[in-house]
Amino acid sequence: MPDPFDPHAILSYAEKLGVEFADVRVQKRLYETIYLDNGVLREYSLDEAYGVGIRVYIDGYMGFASTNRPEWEAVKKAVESAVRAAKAMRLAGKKHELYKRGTSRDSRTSTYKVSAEDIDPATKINVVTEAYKRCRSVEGIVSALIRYGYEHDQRHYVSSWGDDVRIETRLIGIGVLAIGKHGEVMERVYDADSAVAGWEFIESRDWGVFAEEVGKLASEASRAPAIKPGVYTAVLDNEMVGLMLHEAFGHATEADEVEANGSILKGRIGQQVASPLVTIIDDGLVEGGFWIPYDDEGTPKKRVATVEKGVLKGFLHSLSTAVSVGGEPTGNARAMAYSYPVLVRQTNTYMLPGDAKPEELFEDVKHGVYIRGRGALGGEVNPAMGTFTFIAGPSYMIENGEIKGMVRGVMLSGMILETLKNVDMVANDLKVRTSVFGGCGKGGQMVRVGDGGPHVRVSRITIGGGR
Amino acid sequence: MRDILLDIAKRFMDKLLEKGASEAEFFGTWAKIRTAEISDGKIKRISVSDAGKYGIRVAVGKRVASIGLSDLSPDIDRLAETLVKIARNAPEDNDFPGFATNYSRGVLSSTYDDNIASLEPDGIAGLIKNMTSTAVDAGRSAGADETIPTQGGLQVIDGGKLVVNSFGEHLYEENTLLTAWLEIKSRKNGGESTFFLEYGSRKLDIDDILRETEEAARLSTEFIGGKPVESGKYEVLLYPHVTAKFLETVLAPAFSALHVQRDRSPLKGKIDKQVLSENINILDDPSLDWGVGSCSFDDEGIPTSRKHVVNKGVLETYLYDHYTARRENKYSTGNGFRRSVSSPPSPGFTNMYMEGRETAKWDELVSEIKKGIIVYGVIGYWTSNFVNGGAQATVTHGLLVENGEIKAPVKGIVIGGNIYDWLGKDLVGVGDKVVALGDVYAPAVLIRNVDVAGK
Repeated sequence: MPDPFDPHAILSYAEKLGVEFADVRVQKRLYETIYLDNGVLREYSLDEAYGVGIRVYIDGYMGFASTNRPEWEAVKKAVESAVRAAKAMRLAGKKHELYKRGTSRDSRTSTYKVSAEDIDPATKINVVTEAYKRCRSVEGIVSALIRYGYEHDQRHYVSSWGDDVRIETRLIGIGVLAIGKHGEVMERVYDADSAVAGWEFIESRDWGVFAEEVGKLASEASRAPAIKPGVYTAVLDNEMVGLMLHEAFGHATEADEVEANGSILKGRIGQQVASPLVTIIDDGLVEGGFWIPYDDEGTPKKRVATVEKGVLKGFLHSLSTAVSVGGEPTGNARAMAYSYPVLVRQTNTYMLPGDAKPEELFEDVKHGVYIRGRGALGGEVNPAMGTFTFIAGPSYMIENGEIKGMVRGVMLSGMILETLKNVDMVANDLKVRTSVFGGCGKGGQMVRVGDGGPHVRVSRITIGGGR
Repeated sequence: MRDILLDIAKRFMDKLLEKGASEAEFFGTWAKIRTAEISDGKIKRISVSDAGKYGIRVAVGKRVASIGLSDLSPDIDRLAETLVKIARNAPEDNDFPGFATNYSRGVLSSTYDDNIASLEPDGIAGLIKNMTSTAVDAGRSAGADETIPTQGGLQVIDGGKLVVNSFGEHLYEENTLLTAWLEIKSRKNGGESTFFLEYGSRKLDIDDILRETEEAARLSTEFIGGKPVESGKYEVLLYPHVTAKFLETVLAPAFSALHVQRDRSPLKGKIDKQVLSENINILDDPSLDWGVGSCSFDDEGIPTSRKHVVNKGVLETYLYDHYTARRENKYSTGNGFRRSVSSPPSPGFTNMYMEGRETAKWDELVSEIKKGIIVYGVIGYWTSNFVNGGAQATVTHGLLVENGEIKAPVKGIVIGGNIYDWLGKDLVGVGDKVVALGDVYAPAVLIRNVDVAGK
């Protein structure tokens, strides 16, 4: 009997059942969490997962099944379930064709120097404890949580086309949530820093300083007024730009949204959808971002410009949307884990830098807001209605070209087809970030992403928020 | 699967004690999941998964560590060794009271439906086909030129949860769940808009699913040509699902005794005080038949119970798990739930149920609005801030109302304020129908003085 999670054996079994195409994804993943809550070790956990997902095509219909039972009989049963699922689609299913690209055979490992698995638990606890102490030493901080996260993900992809791709990634980071209190007002600020690396990333910086900065920001924010709702001219920092692009535009360029009739960008290739200053890139291998040399269909991740000088150039594709929507596979078919089918997802989304110096963006702003990403909670989009929103960290008013007092509770709202047209200045500083604690959610799946850009000025944007 | 998990649990317990652990607890779940997803009105794929996962927490004195696994033939010797080593290295938690004991069941409700457990891929394909054609017909009846269920899915799960401790106790419970989601797009007179159906129940009730599908399809025609309104203060009527989203994000976590003890709940020190309007009751209710949060014991084996947390606006209790309860010399209220199998429990609602003591019909609430917005759909609500009650969201689906009459669709505005004002001094009325969204049950609420950022 074969090793139950041997992808080649599973593929052969699927092919014996008369499928046109099959692919197999075996994944082994370790996630380590340390979670210090107000100085108490709330959680130290290791999560290990190991399993297989099988996709089959029969008469153009797709079925998918997964299992983590490490017995050959259970895996065979999963393959049979996938076949049964594909056949059940004859009732009301949609046929799909896969784009026939060249065969991929590769094995890649992200760079790291020291494996975090070799570091003693006591050393790791020590790092978060020191960060906690420094955060709590800030006046006005009443509560603080420090997290350490480490992910070691090994994926092996094989398909009926002879593809055989192994990808091994390590992602590591530290997150700080600080809660400041001033009188009756409490405010929280969260920030994290992560890198595709090993333990050397943790050793490369002073996390006490990082935690103290987050604490100071929370303390100051609890004393800051809430912003007055209205329409403002805004300068967005690097992190905010990344978040905005990901939500405001990125999702609507995912070709499965387009295929479903769920994207407002459908039918707009070649049209001006943003200011001529705007060029948007989706790239699997950019410094500071997450690391994706191949997607979960074994397609090499291409660097794609979805928007070039304001004109919509193309969509992000999987093998099936490249045929159904039209285009070439871009390496954007991704799954959260072996147990999920692939969806079209962004990788690292960022705007190309322009010519202006960051400080020049503020010069002729009479009354506006400097919107900061540090402590931002993320965003959301409804790609069919064309509405997006994202939530900034503590930000600053701009008066007559100068950065003034802090404001909190900054929630921005805009329309996909309008906001990027209002970009009137782009700075020359590019920065991209990723996170081991979060990512992007879609269809119940969370995948790691990165985003960023230069400082950008938007002439009009709606801002409101809670208090 | 119960037997596989129980066998792993017992072998782990023995090995951990042998390696020097003082005590241990095991939490396991399994699920058989069948999902059909649609794209542009047709089924895109059907997926099936069958998996078990479990977590083990171990204590060496007052030092605690945990591990989460999905490996059903684990190397118990190696893993037990690693786990005990991590625990020995962990700092002491002086408040650690030991793991929960005295397992038993509290309220019993219906949570397992054979009709869901026996649904296979072709049955699911038939049901989703029924939903999409219902949506198309209902859109047409509402005057749409074209209605397309663009994206969505239907998922059925049968599964179970098992808790075991090293004192020889264990409890096991099975349940079923059906969830459906569907984005319905309608075109009419050259414009288009959408509505999103969100449905969940532990029981298969086809009539109920189709009724909600019809309502969502009808609503998909209502928001064509939505625009921002002028910034200012408005009355806002929240559709029950929208109320539920705010309750879940900004109110529910404030009742957790953990957040109270860690100084991050605005409800700290407010027991027996008026925290919301006299018209509001909030219950933790695990007894609701087919409720998504209904269960007879929590994730640490403690019996659940039905109770008011807010009665006539007065805060009656926080929600406790074993850890937070023992810190205050109390008993757990049966509200210890885990974020993942390896996480420690933390306090949360079973089903959160909010009701008005005096209520009004939907049409009556609409007719009371002088200048306001009915909010049917929001995004970004989850960034609302439970540490201070700050509530905020961007409206994707809204209707402008003047003097009780619907004037125009609205989108792209931010509504903001504070939940304790919204359900306190600024509460105007509460709807008579309480609707479930997942495990949160909520009515419509009419609020005045809401900040609106528009054009």
